[in-house]
Parts: sequence; C-alpha cells; structure tokens
Amino acid sequence: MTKYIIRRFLVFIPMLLAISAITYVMMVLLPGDPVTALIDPFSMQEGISQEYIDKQKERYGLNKPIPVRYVIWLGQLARGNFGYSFMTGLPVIEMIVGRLIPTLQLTFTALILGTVGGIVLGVVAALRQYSYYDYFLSFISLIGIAIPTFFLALIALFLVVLKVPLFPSHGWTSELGVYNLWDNIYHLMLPAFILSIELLATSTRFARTAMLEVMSSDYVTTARAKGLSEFWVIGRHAFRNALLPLITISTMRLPILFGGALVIEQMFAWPGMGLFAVRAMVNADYPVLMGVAFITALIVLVSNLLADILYAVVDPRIRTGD
Amino acid sequence: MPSRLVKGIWLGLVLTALSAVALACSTETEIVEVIKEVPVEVQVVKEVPVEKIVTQEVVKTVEVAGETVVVQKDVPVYVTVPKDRIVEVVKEVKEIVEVEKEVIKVVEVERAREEKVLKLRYKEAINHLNPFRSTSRPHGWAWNLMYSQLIFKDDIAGQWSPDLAERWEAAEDATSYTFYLRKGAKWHDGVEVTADDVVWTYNTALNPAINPRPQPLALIKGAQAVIDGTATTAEGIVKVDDYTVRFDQEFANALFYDKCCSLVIAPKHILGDVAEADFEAHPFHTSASIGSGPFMLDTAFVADVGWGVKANPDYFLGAPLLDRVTFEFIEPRDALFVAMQRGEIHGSTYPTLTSEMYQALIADPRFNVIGIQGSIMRSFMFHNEFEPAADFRVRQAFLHALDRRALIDAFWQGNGTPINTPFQNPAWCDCAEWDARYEYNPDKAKELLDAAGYDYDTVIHNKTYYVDRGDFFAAIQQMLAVVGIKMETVLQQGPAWVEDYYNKSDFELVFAGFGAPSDPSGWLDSQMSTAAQNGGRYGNEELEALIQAGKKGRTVAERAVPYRAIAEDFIDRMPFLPVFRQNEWWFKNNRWYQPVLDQAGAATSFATIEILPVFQGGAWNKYHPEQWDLKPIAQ
Amino acid sequence: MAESDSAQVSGTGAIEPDDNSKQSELAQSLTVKRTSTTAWARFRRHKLAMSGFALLSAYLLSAVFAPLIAPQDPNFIDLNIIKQPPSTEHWLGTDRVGRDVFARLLYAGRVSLTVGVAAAAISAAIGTVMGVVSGYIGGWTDDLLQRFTEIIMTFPSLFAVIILVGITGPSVWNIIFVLGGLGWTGTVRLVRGQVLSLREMDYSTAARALGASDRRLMFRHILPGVMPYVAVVATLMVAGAILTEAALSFLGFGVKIPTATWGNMMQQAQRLYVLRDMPWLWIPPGFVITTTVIAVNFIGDGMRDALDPRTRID
Repeated sequence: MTKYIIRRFLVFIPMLLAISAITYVMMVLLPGDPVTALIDPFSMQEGISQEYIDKQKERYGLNKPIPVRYVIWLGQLARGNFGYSFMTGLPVIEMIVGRLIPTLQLTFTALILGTVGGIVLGVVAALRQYSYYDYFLSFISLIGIAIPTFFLALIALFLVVLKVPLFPSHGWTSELGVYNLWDNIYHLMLPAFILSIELLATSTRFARTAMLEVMSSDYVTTARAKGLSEFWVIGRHAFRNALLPLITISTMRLPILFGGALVIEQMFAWPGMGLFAVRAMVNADYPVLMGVAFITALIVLVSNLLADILYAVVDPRIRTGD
Repeated sequence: MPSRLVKGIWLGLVLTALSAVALACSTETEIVEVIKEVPVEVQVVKEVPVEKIVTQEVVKTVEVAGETVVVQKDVPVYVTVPKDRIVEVVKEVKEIVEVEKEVIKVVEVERAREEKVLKLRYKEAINHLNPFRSTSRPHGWAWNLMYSQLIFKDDIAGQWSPDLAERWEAAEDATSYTFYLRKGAKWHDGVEVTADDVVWTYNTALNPAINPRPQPLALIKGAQAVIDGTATTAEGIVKVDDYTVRFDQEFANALFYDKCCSLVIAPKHILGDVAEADFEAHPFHTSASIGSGPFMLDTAFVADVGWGVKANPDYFLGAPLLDRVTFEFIEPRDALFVAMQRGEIHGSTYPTLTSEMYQALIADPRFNVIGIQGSIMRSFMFHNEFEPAADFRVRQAFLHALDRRALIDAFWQGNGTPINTPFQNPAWCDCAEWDARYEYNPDKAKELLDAAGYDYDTVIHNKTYYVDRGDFFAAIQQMLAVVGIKMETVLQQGPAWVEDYYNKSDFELVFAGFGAPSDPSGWLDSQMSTAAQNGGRYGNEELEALIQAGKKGRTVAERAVPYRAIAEDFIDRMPFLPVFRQNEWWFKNNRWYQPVLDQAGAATSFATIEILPVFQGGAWNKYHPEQWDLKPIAQ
Repeated sequence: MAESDSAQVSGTGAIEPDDNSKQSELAQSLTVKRTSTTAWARFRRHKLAMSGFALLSAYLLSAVFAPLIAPQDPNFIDLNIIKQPPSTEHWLGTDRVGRDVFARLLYAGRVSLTVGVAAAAISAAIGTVMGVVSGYIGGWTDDLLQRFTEIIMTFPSLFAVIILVGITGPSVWNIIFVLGGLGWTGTVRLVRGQVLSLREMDYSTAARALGASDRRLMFRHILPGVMPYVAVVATLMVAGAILTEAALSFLGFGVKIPTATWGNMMQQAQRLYVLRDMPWLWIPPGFVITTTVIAVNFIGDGMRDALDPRTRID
C-alpha cells in the first residue's frame, strides 16, 4: 500500500513540472502584456509614457528571453511566489487564496450533490426498471445533459430569482464583507445546483446502468439463492460493486466542473477562481491566469491522487496489479 | 419498444413544452422588492422605583461595536446597527438632588433606523485603488468618494468649485496658479491635510515609474526634468506656507485647471517613505487606503468582488448622509437587471443596458434613466499608411455610404448624433455646417470612389474591441458593400487591440470609442501627437507644431488659431472618422438621491430622457457625495 | 442483407498476399462479423437509436442543403423588420437586426455540426492512435503517453479551451482544432484498455504465433477490434463539442457573429426579455441543440448496446 502511494507521488512531481511548462508556454503565446493591460480601451484618454512602459517591463522581467523567464518563474513558484498581477500589482497568490474557498465550495458542493444525488436517483431507477419513474428520470437526465449550462442558469435566474424570489441574484454573501454561514449557504444553493445538473444526469445514468448490470450478475443471483434478504443483497453486494467505479468517474469530472464553474461564476457573480480567470483573460493579466491554471491543475491532480488511494483502499485488486 | 417508454417520453415532452409555453406567456415581471427586515423595537416603558431624582439627561447608553451613542432623555434615537449587534447598558446616573420616591421613565431605543447602504454594481477593469495608477474612468468612483482634489468640476454650478482648496487664483498672464487650502481638513487617520501632501502628490505624479500618465502635468516648471528622471522634484511646485501651494508654469498655460486639478491628493505621511519599487504592491492600494474625502475604506478591495466605503464623520464638509456605499461586481447585464429589479442594488457605475432593459426601467416608477451630455465618439480611423484609403475621397465615401441614423436607431436605442469632427467647440468649429456633411448618399460615395480610382477588390480589415457588437459591424459591412467597399471585422479582446493600435500601429482600420475632448489638446496628445504613440501615424511635424501652439494659447481666441487650422484640415481630409457622438444613459433606483442626476425629470420614453449638461466633461459622481442619500422604501 | 455485408468486409480483408492469409482472414472475419453484422442488426432494432439517427441525418441533410432550403440570405440585415414574430415570410421570425431566423438556423447547423463532427473526428483519431500505440507497445512509451494524457486531463477543460482560443483567435477552424486537440483523453484510456484485452485474446495470440508482424497485428487485428468502441465515444464527443462551443459563445470566446452557430444564436437570445417576449429567438436553437445532443446520446447508447450482446435491447 505504502509502496503504491509512494509510486503515485513520484509520478506527481514530473507531472507538476510538465503542467507548469505547458502553462507557461500558453501564457507566453497569448497577446498583450502588462503595459497594454494598463490601458482600458473603453475609456482611453491620454497616452502612456514610454518610461513607465520600460520600468514596468523591467519590473516584470519581460526584457529577458522566454526560457530564462520560465526558470525564474519556476524558482519563484517553488518559493510559493506566483508573481505579481499586471492589473493590481499585488502578489498573485494572495489574490488566489481569497478565491479558493468560494470555488472549492461551489465545485465540491456540486460534485457531492451530483454524485450522491445521481447514485440515489440511478439506483432507484434501476430497482424500478421500466417503470414510469425510470423512463421519466432517463428523459430528464438526458435533458440535463443536453441543455447548455448557461441557458439553465438564465432560466433559473428568470424563474426562481426574478419571478418567484426564492434565491438571491448574485454574490457570495448579501453584505459585502459581512460573513454569515447561513447567508453564504443560501447564496450557494442555486449556483451549486445548476453546476451539478450535468454531473447529476451523467451519474444517474451511470449508476442505473451499473446497478442493472450487477443485479443480473451471477454472484447477486448466488446471493439471492443463498436466501439472503433483498435488502442485504442490494445493500451489501450489488450496491458496493456497482458504485465503486463512480469514485473515479466523479473525480475525473472535477476538471469539467471547474470548467463549468467559469460559466456559473460569471452568471451569478460568484467570486471564485473561474470568474477571476475569465477577467484575467480579458484583461491580459497573465501572471494571474498562470497562477489560476496551475492551482486548479494542482487541485485536480491531488484529488485524483486521493481518489486513486481511496480506490486502492477500497478495492485491494488495484494495489497488486496494474 | 414498450409502450410505457413512449408514454414516458411523451409525458416528458409535454411537460417541457408546457413549461416553455408558460415561460413564454408569463406576464409582466412582478415588482419584487426585497426589503430587509428592520428590527423595530416598540417603546419599552420600564417603571423603575428610584429614590433619587436624576438631573442629568443621560439615561442609557447603547454600545455599538466600540462606539458609544449617548441617548438623551425623551429624544428618539436612531441607531445604525441591527438589533442583535446592540448591547444595552443601562447606567444609573450618580448625581443626586433630592431623596424622594418617584417613578421615572426610562426612554428606550425607539426604533433602530435602517442603515443607509447605497449598493452599486461595477463590472469594469478596476482592480486596485492606487491613486496614481487610475487606468480607467471607473476608478473615479473610488477617488470621488474617498479622496479630495484641490478643486473639482461642479456640474450643477457649471464651474470649478472648492474642494480641498477653499479659494484659488491665477496670475494675470496664466503662468502661475495659487491654491489656498482649507484649514482643518483631515486624513481618515486624523492627520491634518497640509500643503506638504499636495506638493508631494504632484511631484510623485510626475514620476513615470509610478504614474503611467505624467504628461498632462508636463507644463509645470521643471516637470519635464522629473519625467525624464533628471530631477526628483519640480521647481514649479512651490509650498508657500502650510496651507498655500503655488504652481509655476513653463509658459502661459491656460489649461492648467483642466489638466492638473483632477489629480487626487494622496497622504504623504503614509506613502511618502515607500520606495519606488515597493510602491505598486503596497497594501495601501487594496486594504489600507487613506484619503480625505467624505467616505473611508470599509471593506478591503478585492478585485472582481467588490469593495465598500463607510461615512467619514469628520469630513470637512460635514458627515455624509449615507452610512455606507458598497460596490459589487456583477458581470452579465441580465444579472444586473435582476438585481436592480429586486432592489438589491441601486445603480451601476457603468451605463450600458439593452434597449429592452432601458425600456423596462423607464416604465417602472421605481427607476429613472438620466442622460449625461455625450462625451464618447464612436469612430473609425484608417491607418495613415494604408494605401487603398490614402486618397481622402475614399474616406469621405466611407462616411457617405453609412446610414448613420439607421445604425444609431437600430443598435444604440437612438442615442447618438452623427458628427464629422472631433473638435466640437464653436470657437474652432463650424459645427452645424461640418456635421451636416457626409450625409448618407451611396451614389455620391460611388462617385467619390470612382474619382479616387478605388480598387474595389481591396478587403479592408477593421479591428475593434467591441466583441459583442458583431451585428453592428455586420450592418456596416452590408452598407459598405452596397457601394463596393469590402470590409471584414476582426473582433479583438481589449489588450490585443490596444497592442495593435497603440504599441504596434498594426492595423488598416480601427473602430473605437474615443473620449470626446472638452479641449482638443489632451485628445490630440494621445491620438495624434508624435510625442506619444501616434497609433494611426497621422501625426507629423506640422501637426505637432500646431498641437504645441494650441497648448500655449492663453485665451480661447489664441488657441482657436492653431485648433481651427487642425480642424479644417481634418474635416476635409478626414484622417479620423467620427461616426456619432453619444450621450450616456445612466439609470438608478429613485431611492438613491444624487444631486446632479436628480435634476432630471422622470423619463417616460427614450425621447423624454433628459440630457443633463456637464461642466468640461465633468464627473457627476464627484458632486458632493456627502449629500447623497437613500430614501426609505415607499410603502 | 446482413450476410452480404459481412461477406464484403471479410472479402476485402482477404486480398492481402500473405502466407498466413487464410488464418488471419479467419480471425478477422470473426471479429468483424461480431462487431459489424450482428451489431448493425441489433442497432437497427434499437428504436431510440434509430430515431436519433434519423433526426441527426435530417439535421445533417438540412445543413448540407441549407442554400437550397433557406428562403433568405442568413446574413442579410434588414433594419426595417427587426424582432418580428414568425410569419409566412419568415417562418421562425427575425432577429434583433432583421435577419431570418430560419435561414440562420440552417446555416448555423453547418457550422455547429462541422464543429461537432470535425472536433470529434480529430479527437477520435488522436485518441485511437495514442491508445493503440500505448496499449500495444506498452513499457515506457505507455507510461509516458499515459502521464501525458493525465496532464491534459488535469487542466479544467473549458479553461484550457479558452486560453488556446485566446492564442489562436476564435475562428471556426481554430475552435475545431482546439476542441479536437483537447478532447481525446477519454478515448485514449478506452482504446488502451481495449487493446490490452484484445492483445491477450485467442485470435491475436494465434495470429502472433503464425508470425504476423507487429504492425500487421496492430492495424489489421487490433484496430478493427477497437474501432466500434471508438465510434461510440466519438459519437458522444460530437455532442460535447457542440455544447462546449455554446459555452464558449457565452463567455465571449466563441465563433463571432455574424457567422451563426447554434451556440451563438442561443447566446444572443440569452436575455431575460428575449426569454419572455421573443421565444422564436431561443426556442429554435435551444430545441435543435437539445435534440441533437439527445439524438447523439441515443445513437451512442444504441451502438454500445449493439456491440455488447449481453445488454438487453429494448
């Protein structure tokens, strides 16, 4: 077991390096620099002094060749310094830390909601195969997969925010700077639910299929034949075996959820990293973009690792073979 | 296929269709206003048997988050904090006069007044509160609420009015300006504002490593040396005494107020010792902003989330009526609109909505839409070295081909006036005659193109950052195609566009919103001067000489000479093609009282939106924020 | 019908002048027969899949023949007839600038379906090649490719797409290449798994024992074995690409108007007032996107069921 974990960790480091390199190359290729980031084309009035441009380039090290800049960036990164934002002049890491909690809150709530909800719905559908409930659920989950998230968000905004004001329209809390857990959860509910819909639909379908497959398998038949109660058969044998793969499926969905959060955070002004990243992209604030890309990749990598370990703990076959 | 499956699918389809129909047919949006529950305490009359008569008025204190509000007998008291945050401390007053048994009334807090919080939405690229690095107009909101200038553009009086300086005077020959600061103005940390702060601020603003745009100040004596890095302070910025500052100019500079006085004064005692290299990352710009304005930083600034300010009770013009103002980041217009409808926000720092939204706000008595005299020119500009359009007749034909009225009506809610010259001052512009030129006339456009020998195979690439206005450009392309001009539009994100236009001068044609100048020199400096980026490459020595001559004119008449020369050149040769000039349509919840905006009557249609004049492109949101108010929700 | 299909496929498989042609032909015809003939028959019995197939074909045809069907020029702006409800002249009404919605829907189908199909094809191609190489060769090549796949999977998908589109610019083909270039990770894993199991199957062992070269084994035995599975995944990727393009449009990084796509038509319509007052602007693209995705899913399900005889066919 320990050996397995160590092996996974060893792979982890070169991957992190590779990710940083890819991220850096992408940023270098993007148009714009800190100087252009200073000019807001929508309200441009006066020109910018060449001296300021030169000083800024020097400050951000933009006058050095790209590989050198990468090594410097990497060196800083190792010390936890992600550089300074072009737009604010502030350390990127400070800016990201503030965004981490809302994003994790949103994505993990959606992840749990989607996975657990999907399992419940899917298992129930499987147990009542070919019932109206089953067909209706299949249909709804198809719709869930098929409608673009932003459109669902807009419909939700229209129906349950404007028409029937059940949920707040935007933000993380109602009062800026005043944190209240219940208020925060109240703001979280709608965006997290909408973000989870796609995952909910996918995992419902998955859980249903897996459950059906296991239910018709030999050992479940055997278990039944042994005279075990139906509850025991489903709970102990079928359920466990059918849903193990969902751990992997769900963590593999994490990057997609982070992607989906871009849209949801935009729509509901949820102050997470997605919103932050889109703004940084629009404003050509590349140090921020690099930081966000790197941190999200890191989170995904770590949760994959955790999922692998978890899986290995639950299913001993993984540890030995591969 | 089992029939139940079919039924299940039909059931689903019917439900979906029904909800779609319900959505489509639902009636006018209900007026939903979320009213925060205000804890109202009934008058509690407690009978207290006492043997002592209280002579002093202090009956009870209410402790609120560190502050102590003294409650006076028989005077209703308003406390600005929700009930649960109030700690009641009843104090017996010690002074004894007589010994007698009597019952007195303890006056309780009668009603906790709702805290007045003005909530505004923002969406722009404001990402820091560094007073020297204001990259965009929206920063103005921060400066106007938290900081003071020497004097400010007063949109109601239509003139410069006192801010930190209570009076000021200019030398007869416009070579020197003296400002007399008011005594007793204080920074938010209690330190007094003095001439030292002003002198330090202006000198720092000349440092190009700190301020990206020192050029407007360059006419102060010795300023150029500071900009060039050969001096650290300008000799023309003179501290006369603790409350008097004089600015000596290189030469007669009639534009001094316009160019220099919108700078916000920053605290020397905090930033004065910060090294140049540490300046930008200083926490002052996010969490420790200290100004001298009517509001002070309350909630630290977080990029793309928001920030908030609270009333400064010691403001030199009196404590503000509002308790707090918060700025909340909302990007999509629909979310903004919903938040407006629900009363969750009262206005926006940026005035763009779709026409349906404007229509809804006009129709709703809770809101008003107010026009502010236009200062934006939506314009095309050809690169001066772009061969196919080198002949000015091609550029003229370009405008003749556009039905500008139809474009304005279809894409900008009719809000706009076609113009042909960026110089809209009658002193150097025959505006009525000039702006009537280049009317929509495709036949004339064709004639001009033929006369210029235009190569009809040319495809002109138009770069613009209006990424969400693809339809507008499609319409323009269609109009141009009628006369044979082929145009394609390249939609770019802001920074990429800025790079191509300003830094690389790599384009054939651009479309942009240019700030319409109140005085041409700033605009010419940024767009046409060879001393700056000169993006379109139209600037040349001759034009440069005229631009410089314009700056040196002491009176309007003197400046009119070079400016008229430039304007007359422009109107014929059209190096710059203004398409139309636009007013800004601001909108707000009527609960929010703002002296400038509230001058306007209630609009009932697009046509009745009142357009308010402003002073020299002034900022209405600078107008006495301490007088802004939030009226109670109408029952 | 089914028999002749199989004969044709196995017939072409037999042309190779090879010493072991007889045996390998036998091996191959077995594989192909299992996955192709009976699978097609099973697929045809899958009613939902067939209706999905019919719907998608209809969409494809209407996109291909858009110039013949469309009553108007999809990009012609007429500022005098903006936001008109459906009428006999404009079957689905007109949009904010007076363009015919029906014509735009047809032409948008061309772009959206191209994006979907081309991106899926690119992904499937990359994924198959990498999966086969990885699974067949194994060793450090496999390790390297697997780690690379993991790295690509690590980036939040939409986020990476946005950055790449930011670099390349939002033209239709750039978006296709970006989506195709990032969407192959799932395929690699699937193909690799299949290859690993196919490699150990009796007929591969037999072919190898009879001296079939690596390349031959890979392309003539393994590849045909995994193709059906790739087809399933690729089908589903068509839906994914169409939805991603729509999300890109929402974030402002998608295909720019006036070029219509289903995604940007919907994005244009995503205004609260349009939602309530102008249903003809959002229902058509919404319906088409949703039904396309559903149809594609049905087809995918049908193919999967057809390939796996254990699954019951409804």
